Parts: sequence; structure tokens; C-alpha cells
Amino acid sequence: VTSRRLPEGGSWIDRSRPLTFRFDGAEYEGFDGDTLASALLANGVTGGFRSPILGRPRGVMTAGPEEPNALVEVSEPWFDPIVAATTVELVDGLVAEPRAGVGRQPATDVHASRAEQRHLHVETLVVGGGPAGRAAAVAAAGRGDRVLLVDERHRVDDPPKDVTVLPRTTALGVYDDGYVVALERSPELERLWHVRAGRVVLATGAIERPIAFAGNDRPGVMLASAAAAYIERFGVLPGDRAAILTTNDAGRVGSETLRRAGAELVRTLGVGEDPSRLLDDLDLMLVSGGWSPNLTLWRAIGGRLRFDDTLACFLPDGDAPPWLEVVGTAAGDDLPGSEAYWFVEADDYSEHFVDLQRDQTVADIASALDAGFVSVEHVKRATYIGTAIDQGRTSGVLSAAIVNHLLGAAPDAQGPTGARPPAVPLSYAAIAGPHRGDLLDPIRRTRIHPWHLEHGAVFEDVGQWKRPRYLPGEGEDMDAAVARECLAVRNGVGVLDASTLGKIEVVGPDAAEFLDRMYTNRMSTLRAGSIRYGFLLGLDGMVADDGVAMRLADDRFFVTTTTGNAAMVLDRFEEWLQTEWPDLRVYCTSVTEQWADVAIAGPRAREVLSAVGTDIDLSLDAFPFMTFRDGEVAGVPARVARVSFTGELSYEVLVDGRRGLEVWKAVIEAGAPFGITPYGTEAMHVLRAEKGFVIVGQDTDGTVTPDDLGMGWIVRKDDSDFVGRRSLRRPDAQREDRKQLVGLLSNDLLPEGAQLVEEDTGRAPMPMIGHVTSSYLSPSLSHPIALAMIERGRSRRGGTVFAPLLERTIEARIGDPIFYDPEGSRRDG
Amino acid sequence: VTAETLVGLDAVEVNLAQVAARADPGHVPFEPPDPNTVTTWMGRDVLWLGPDEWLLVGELGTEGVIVDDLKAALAGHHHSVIDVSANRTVFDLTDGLDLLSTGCGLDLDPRRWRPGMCAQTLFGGAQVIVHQREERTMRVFVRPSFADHVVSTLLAARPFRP
Repeated sequence: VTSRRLPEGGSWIDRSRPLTFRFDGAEYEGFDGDTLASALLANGVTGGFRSPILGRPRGVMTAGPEEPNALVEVSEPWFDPIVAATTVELVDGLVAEPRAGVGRQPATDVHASRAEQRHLHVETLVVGGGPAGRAAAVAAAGRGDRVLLVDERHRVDDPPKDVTVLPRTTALGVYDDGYVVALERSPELERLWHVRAGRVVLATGAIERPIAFAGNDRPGVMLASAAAAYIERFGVLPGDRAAILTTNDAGRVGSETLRRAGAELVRTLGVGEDPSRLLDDLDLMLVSGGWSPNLTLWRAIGGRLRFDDTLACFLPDGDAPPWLEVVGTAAGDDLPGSEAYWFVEADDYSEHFVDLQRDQTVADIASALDAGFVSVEHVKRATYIGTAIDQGRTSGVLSAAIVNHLLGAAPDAQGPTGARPPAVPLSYAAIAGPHRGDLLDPIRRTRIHPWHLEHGAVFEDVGQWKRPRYLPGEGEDMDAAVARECLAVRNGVGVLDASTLGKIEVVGPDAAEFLDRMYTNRMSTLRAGSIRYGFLLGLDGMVADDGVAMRLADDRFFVTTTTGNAAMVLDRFEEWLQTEWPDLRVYCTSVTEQWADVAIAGPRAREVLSAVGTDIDLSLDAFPFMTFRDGEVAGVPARVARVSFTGELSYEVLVDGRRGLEVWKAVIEAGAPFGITPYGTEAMHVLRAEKGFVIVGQDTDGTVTPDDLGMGWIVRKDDSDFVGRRSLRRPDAQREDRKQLVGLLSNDLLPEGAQLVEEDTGRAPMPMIGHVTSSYLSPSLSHPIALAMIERGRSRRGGTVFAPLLERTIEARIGDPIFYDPEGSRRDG
Repeated sequence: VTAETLVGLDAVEVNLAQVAARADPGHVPFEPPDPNTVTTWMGRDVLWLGPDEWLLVGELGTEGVIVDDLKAALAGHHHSVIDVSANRTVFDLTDGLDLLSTGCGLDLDPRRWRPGMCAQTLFGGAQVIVHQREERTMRVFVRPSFADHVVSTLLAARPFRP
């Protein structure tokens, strides 16, 4: 193989810095500044590729990202499953292999590029670093703008001063009001840019168009401008013996460059002349079918096109939004006139390639038209033209023109198919950026988390929070740990980190009126020092959240929400206050993390709290159920609430978040003589299910009313309004056959989510009448319990249902959802 | 957040008094700051969080005094004044402010974002309040539960130099 590197020239390469690389198993040399494609051509590798479907030999056809043939997998020093060699910047030690159109999932771990993201604000963003883009950037910088210029190539000639220039960066999409997402890809790095620009200038240039003729996909067939680029930028002469087929003057300029570089130009062909018979006698066939402005971004944001007869191409049409502008050859400026010529006439079009990356020909388009697909969008789906990695950069306009031509329609009858972001493929890694592994989504931890970690807690995700699910002892599995924790709470005392509960202070003269409107029951009749449980409904009347309200003072409430809904509830409060009831004098403030919440539960909870040390009178008369007291616990100012999610005597000790861990440790220490047992969310779930307490989001699914839960008592019946009240009166909300919460008793544990039927006929389908929402083995009762939503459930109490599973059917008896201590005798200890 | 991780960032955790105040801007005892700016009142920073919402920041231990001062000044007017000193962890990030642009969509360019400005925003998916105190120092308020995530995300970020 002879070197095709010219003795001199090549504005992008540095001949003093040779690099070694491997392609398809062989070792080659190139220079710093080369692309993989230019280095391959310099080494005489003019073919080296195959087409994806037909397996035809292919070679480098272009010098840019429009390349349809020269696709490679890069395995060192980073990994890319498939990328155009014309866009791969050569680095020392690069290893690449040809890929025929489809990338491969690597068998082993690969060296992934580092993925970053970055936000940037500029007054002017210029996409494209050609002469027009650089001029626009210079003008904007002259006005004092902050200017970013991005260009997808790895070199920008004459980079303008006072402009941030990002080579190797492709604008993937332009969105409303100058928001542009761009991908920077350099060796070892993918960086996704979120750019907010006051003005976006599209200087995206124009792409030379191929002409379809028999064998136009053979190695050596190249766009005329690409050949010029290889000579001028890389000092590489892509062929010695050349011909050119051109419809315009620019193609002739390319041929002039070629001649000066020392190639022999044997023929210049024009419209109507067929180059296919010359191919065997040449090593370079240049093609220039005119120029198509690169308007992918323009079209993707809704820009229209018009056909220009003189230039034989589509130009931007209509008004752009005030912040968007198309300049330079992308707008048709300085483009040479061209004849509208798309393919060389022949008897057989089966080797006239249009989309080389999809191996689709003029014959394939004709066949799609024969089948009745007359829209370019349908032709695209019938042939897959334009759907490959190159997104039809060289084939889009050409295939539309051929469709128009074959249908006998005017050249402007149909333009190219629609464009959508991203303009080039990007990896999931780039989209994820740093948000992978532990940083995938924020992980929230309570102030007491270090203690849980130290004591071997197994965590579960509750929204973004990590909460201890159970704390296994030596050799204990989950079932054993949960049983032990449950029994400790029922028979002794347990302690739970409840800090994740949402907390909102609602303050103002109208705070009570506001909460009356948000909750189904009355909060305004609550006395200071007292607590009330409440339901928050959606406008549809369905249960959206639950929690308690503590009245701190006449004009001051402390409201809790479920862990996962804290932000939603505050948003909802603010929405109603700001949009519907601006007359209400109420301010809401999130105080979720101001407070750590240590919940002590069990018959010995009072003894433990006394042992911890408190100035609050814990006697039943002084501190009854559903009240709270402010005082000190373990020497720390505390608000202690007597609420219970277990049915047992419980104290929730709320303290300054910064002292939460200290108080937790004090409770553990003082509770040790009482056998205090830290318990997790799983035991909490079992304990509350034994008592028939629902969990919003587990036993409800957004289609459940308070009455469905058997909690109609929580909805006030007077004339005052609250959110969701009107919807509760809809006939549908009052249907007799709504699903209602019931308890199920069975010999075997029912799977949560199991569908329930009245009668197991053994033959599907069977009418389903409900489903299991919660199911546990109750350690206190020593048998399985379940909660379920069943049509007319309350009227079926005493009856049976069946859960047909794949292997067996479980029979269950329907009863009340309260399995344990239905009289509520345990809540006071 | 531990001191060790913050050292990796050239940042220090600062314990401060923080008080959330909401009232009609016509009634507050301080000069209401312009949107997204900070003023001072009796030695405390007053961060604008909304048209009727401010965060007052003072030395640790003064939260009770700030609450009392505000309540006294706002007596007779509808207001909400709450000690939220534990609701956010605070650290001062020195230099490396550019790292914030890896996860925050605000225009933090020194040509547009100057000392004395503040904002409620997101960093890496977590809500934060940023307050530029000096040329080189950004004060970051983050809910304690998110602090590890925010610091880890900052530690994973690399500076950008064009």
C-alpha cells in the first residue's frame, strides 16, 4: 500500500507529531490533527468497509458527519460502538474496527468515556464555525455579547477572539427561547451542554449532494468537496486518476484543487452523462450534485422550507422567531447555481444508491411508490431511507427529489422528511451525565442515618429517602427480624426513626379556615395542644394524602404529611392559597428537616420516656391520646405527640434536627433496661395493618374515597366546602358496587396485588371483584392477615373469596380490616 | 457531609441561625431586598426568597433573638416567623464556583452573577439556596438529607476551561 500523504500541506495536521493507530487488525501511522478517515486514506486504505445489508465494499465518501459508509467501532482508548471515521479524531493508540451499519454490545466492560453535563448562558450562540458562523460570532462579540461558537469538527479555522469556541460539539436540538442542547465529544469525554442563548445563529453550512448512478456506492466514489478537504486540511490525495460528475461550478473548483495536488483528471461529466462505465478505469470518482443547506435544526424547531430553482435546493422559508437566525450557506448565501439533477437515467436502477447506510436505491424508492406510498414520510418508512446513523444527511433531499421526479411532480411538491432532535445519535451515558450509580437520583438520609448504618439496618427506598426496613440481629433473616421487632412493640417497647414525615407550619389568622377547606374533617374546632388525623382529597374526591394537624396556637398549626408526599402537599397548599384563595391570610413553611422525629411505641413507652428524662407530665390525665406537649426530653427542647400508627401507646419525640441523633441514642440507652428494640418500616407496616390503618399509596391508588376505606366518618357532612367535596357527590363516587376496604384471613399468605374472585371456576376468565393491597404474616396473631379492596366488600363480611394463582388457589375469609385490639384498648398503655 | 469531604471541595460547613420570615413587604423592619438579592439588617443577612418570603441568617445562637425582633416588629400584622436553623445545612464554597454550573441551570457567570445575589434553585436534582457572599465564595444552603448527594455530585464534577 502506497502512502497518499502529500509531501506538504494539510492545515489541520501537525507533521511533527506522528501517531500510531490500529484499524481492522493492522497498524498504521497518522498525524495529530487527522481524523481516522483522513489517516486511513493517507495510508492508502480507500475501501475497508462493507454495506450493512448487501455486504457491498464501501470506502470513505465524505469528510464530515454526513458520512454514510465509513463506520467504525472504537475500542481504545475509549469505547464507541459505532461512529463515523470521518468524525473520529486520531489519538495515539486508537484501535478501531469497521462496522457494517450496526454497533455491537461489548462482551466485557469497556472503557467508557467520562460523561459530564454543564449549563451555560450566553447572549449569542453560533452553531457552525465556517466563515459565516465566525463572522456572526465576531460581530456579536463586538457588541459585547458573551458568545459561544460550537462546531462539530475537531478544528475550527481562525477561531475568533473573545468567543468561547467549542470544537467537537454538535447542537442536538434547538428549543423554544434559545435553549439549545449540544453534545461535545472528544477522546475520553462526552459532555452535554445545556445552553441558554439570547440569540441563536444557525451557520450550519451546506452538504454536498451525491447523484445516484450505477455503482455510485463503490470505494473511490467521493463528494468533490470531501476530496478538496482531504487535500487542503490533511495533505492527503485520495486518488491519482480521477473523473468528476458535477451539476455546478463548485464541483469544478474541487477538481482544480485535485489537479494542483497532482492527480490526473481524466473526464469532467455533466448532466446526462453516465460515469458508471468509467469506474473500473479510475481510483477516484468525484460527485457534486449541488448543495443542500444543512437545516436539520431549523426544521426540527418547526422551520419551513422552500425550493429554490436556481440553487436546486431547499432553503429556509418564513419568519424565524426573533431569537433565531440562519446565515451563510445554510441560508443559501454564496451557494453555486446548480441544475436540478438527481440520478443518471438507466434501464436498471438497482445499483443507483440513495441511502448508502440503508442500502436503498432508486429502484427501492420506485418500488415503494408502486406499492402506493406516495408521501416521502411513507417512503421513508417503507425503505428506511434517512433512518440510519447519519440521519439521511446525504440522502434526505435526494430521496425527496427522486420521489417528486418519479411521481412527475414539481421539485417543490414534497420536501425532505421531518427532523427531530437529537441531530446526531448520543449515548445514554451522555444523557445521564454524572447521574449514575449512587448519584442517579438524590438519596436522602435522616440525621439518624449514621446510627442505622452502624447497626446493620437493611434499607428500603421511600421516595428519595433511605429508611431502615428492618435491623437484623446475628443470623436473622428478614422474616425473623420483622417478627422480633413487631413483638417487641406489642409486648415491650420499640423505637422508629420517623424523621422523614413531611412537616409544614401553617400560620395566620385564617389558618384554621384554610385547613378546613383542605381537609375533609374540621381542623378549626381543634384546641391548642390537640391533634387531629385528617384526609386530604384531590379535586376528584379521591384520597391524596393523610397526616395529622397539631394546633400550636389559635393561628398556628403544625401539619404532617406522608414521607413521599411532603412536597406535593406543600405545593397543593400554595397553589390553593395563591390561585384560589389569595384573600386568606395564611403562610405555609416547610419544616420537614427542622425536626427529627423519634417514635417510641409499645406498652412500656411511658417508662422509657420517663427514664430518658422529661419535664412533661406523662400521666394519662395530663397527657391524653391525640395531644402534644412542649418540654424537654434528654435535656433537649422537644415537642412530644401522642399519636399512634401501631395501636400501642406511642410518643413521637420531635427535636431540633441537629440533635436528633443525640436524642435517639439517649432513648436507646435509657430504653435498654426495658429491652427497647429499634424497628424499621416493615414492622411498622405489619403493625399498622394489624390495626387496619391504611397507607396512602399502598392501600389506595388514587381511585379510593374515604368511604371506600370505611372512613366515611372523617368526611364532615355540613354545608361547608372542602377540596374534593363536590366530587364525592358524583353518582360514581356513591355507587353501591364500589370497591371497599376489608380484611382477609387465610391459611396461606396472600401475595400483595393478587386478584380476587367470587368463585374459582378453574377456567379463566373469571370476573374479578377486587385485589389484595397489603399482606403480612402477623407475628402477634400467628397467622396471615391481608387488606383488600373488594366490590361491595363490607356487605360480603363473613363470606369467602378466592385468589387464583398460577400454582394454586388461596381461599380467604372476608372480615373487618381491624385484626388486632379492635376496641383500641392498648393505645393508652 | 463531613469535614473531610468538604476539604476536597475547598469548602467549610458553617453553623448559622436561620429564620424563615413571611409577611407583607410593607411591614417588615428591614429594607426588602430586590428579587434574588441580599440585604443586611442589624448584622444579619436577609435573603430574598420570594415577594413575601425571606431567609434571615445570623450567627449561631441568635435565632431566638432574630425571631423575637421580627415578631416584635411585625406585631399587629399578619406574618409567619419560624426558626429553621436545622432545616438546612450550610457550607461556604470557595473558588470552584464554576463547578456549580455542572448541575445548576442559573447564569452564575461573574459578569452577570455578583456578590450580594441569591437564588433558590436546583443542583443535581436537589433544592439549594445559593448566596454569593464574596467574589470567590458561594454560600450553599441545602436540606441536610440532600447534603451528601450535593457534595458528592460537586466532588464528581470537574472544572471547565475552554
